[in-house]
Amino acid sequence: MANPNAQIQKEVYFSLLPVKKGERTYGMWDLMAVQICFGIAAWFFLTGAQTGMLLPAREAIPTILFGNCIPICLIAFIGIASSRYGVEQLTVSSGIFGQKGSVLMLIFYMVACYPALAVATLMFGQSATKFIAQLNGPEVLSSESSGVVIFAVAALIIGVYIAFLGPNALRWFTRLSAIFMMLIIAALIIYIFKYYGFSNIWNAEPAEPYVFEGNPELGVAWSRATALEVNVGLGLSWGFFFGQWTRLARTEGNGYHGCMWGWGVLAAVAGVFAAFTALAIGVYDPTLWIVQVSNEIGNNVLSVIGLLLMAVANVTSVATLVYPEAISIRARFPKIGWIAALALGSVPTLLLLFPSVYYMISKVYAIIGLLTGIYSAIVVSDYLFVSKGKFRIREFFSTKNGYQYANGWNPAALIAVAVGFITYLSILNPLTWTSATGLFPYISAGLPTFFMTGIVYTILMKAWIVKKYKIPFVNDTEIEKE
Amino acid sequence: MLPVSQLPVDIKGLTPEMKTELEERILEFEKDYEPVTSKGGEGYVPKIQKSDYWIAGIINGIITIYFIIAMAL
Repeated sequence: MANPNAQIQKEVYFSLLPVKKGERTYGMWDLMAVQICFGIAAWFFLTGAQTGMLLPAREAIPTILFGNCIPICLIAFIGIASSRYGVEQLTVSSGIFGQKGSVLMLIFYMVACYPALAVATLMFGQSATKFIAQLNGPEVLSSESSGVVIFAVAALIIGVYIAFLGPNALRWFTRLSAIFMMLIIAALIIYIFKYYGFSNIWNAEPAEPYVFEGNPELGVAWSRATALEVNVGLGLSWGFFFGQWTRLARTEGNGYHGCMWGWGVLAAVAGVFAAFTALAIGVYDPTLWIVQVSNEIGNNVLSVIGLLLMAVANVTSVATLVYPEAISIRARFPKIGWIAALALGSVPTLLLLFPSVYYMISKVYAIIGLLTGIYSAIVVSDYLFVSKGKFRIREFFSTKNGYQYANGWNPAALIAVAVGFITYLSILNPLTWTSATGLFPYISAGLPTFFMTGIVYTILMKAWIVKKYKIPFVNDTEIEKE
Repeated sequence: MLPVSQLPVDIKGLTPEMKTELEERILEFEKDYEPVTSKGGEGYVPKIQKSDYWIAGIINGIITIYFIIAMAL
């Protein structure tokens, strides 16, 4: 018979239980490795390539770095409370949004995850079909219509299986993969420069910049704003994922730095690589560059290594995305088993596995950035200006009486969410990529939305909610008599 | 703040063992850490330091300056 204590110990990593100090297994390097593996995937390859299609190298590189690192720096406060209390992030969110409001945020979270998973698995499919074509394999496996989808489903299954094994297996898997991927990407960047010449890449004109007849400045503005927007969207997209990892961190600083640098400047190397490939051959898909150069030099080794990189990158990302998603689902609904939570977090992605989704990275990340940016702005504002990270742990787990605000909803958070949506959509419609107010391309949409949402939330909390409702350790420190 | 008796752990779907374990962990946190975390102090693990924010600020400041200069030239 299984030892119940051992069972509980194991369950800590797969459930809502607060993770104690002695159970913390992730140091800063572990978290960095996980987030490098999480970050280096289709999202960085495709946003980087998109940037290289719009901007020359001298602008593309700072846009990729700024667009990713600054949003992550702004939202990195999100993970601190999870390190402090050992609970996953959506549980902490109940103290900010209210118990029912946190369920709404869980829905936002899942809606943001599915298109990201679709893009990652489709990129695995894209690279695998090209590999099969190189080997003259059957058309069903090498065509974009059938082969991509078949391999995308395979990537989803493999990634979910790795997530099923849990964080300790993931830790070892990502340690090896992170080193492998960083080395391969660094080698490929050096190879690009050797093959094409540094000045050719640096001075190459982007293949698909915006062009407006008679108004070249407007074209430059649209190219810059679009490239910045897609990178900011990716930078903000990590907002839902901090706490499920930082609850495992040995110190708050480990969690803060591991996530910030892993998702930021380190994983951004993949974006820089993709921008260079886009500038080199003028195509959006970095896997095409690998195949083209292999054919030109008549050596399949590069092709095998490059496509292996795409495979490892995207499968590890599926695993590191689905694990925290499933943890958040189970924290709110413990009755759902681990396998069912993994299925809930991944199976709806199948509905998005159309090859066309692969080419819609701007729209995908604008929508994800919109949802996560609004959520992140509220959580960060609360940490910096309202609760300052002070929560009553018992209230997280008492859904009927803890953190109720107005019948389970924090009205300030709800209004701030609405203001966030209005702000973003008035600047940029992510589906049509048009601006109703004409503000885009002169300002981006993601960062103004982040600041507007945070300001509205903070003002409403200070002027209204903190005066109207008792919030533990914010304006209420005495326990009432029974 | 509501007394503990009015804040039962009521998350649906927890097994009795998990509920007991969760209650024990909450009690332990309330006893060992909450007097400090309620004042903004350390929880289960060492607290983030000001130097952590400085490091992040400096590196991201350099990236921001690089971006501004690249776009201005």
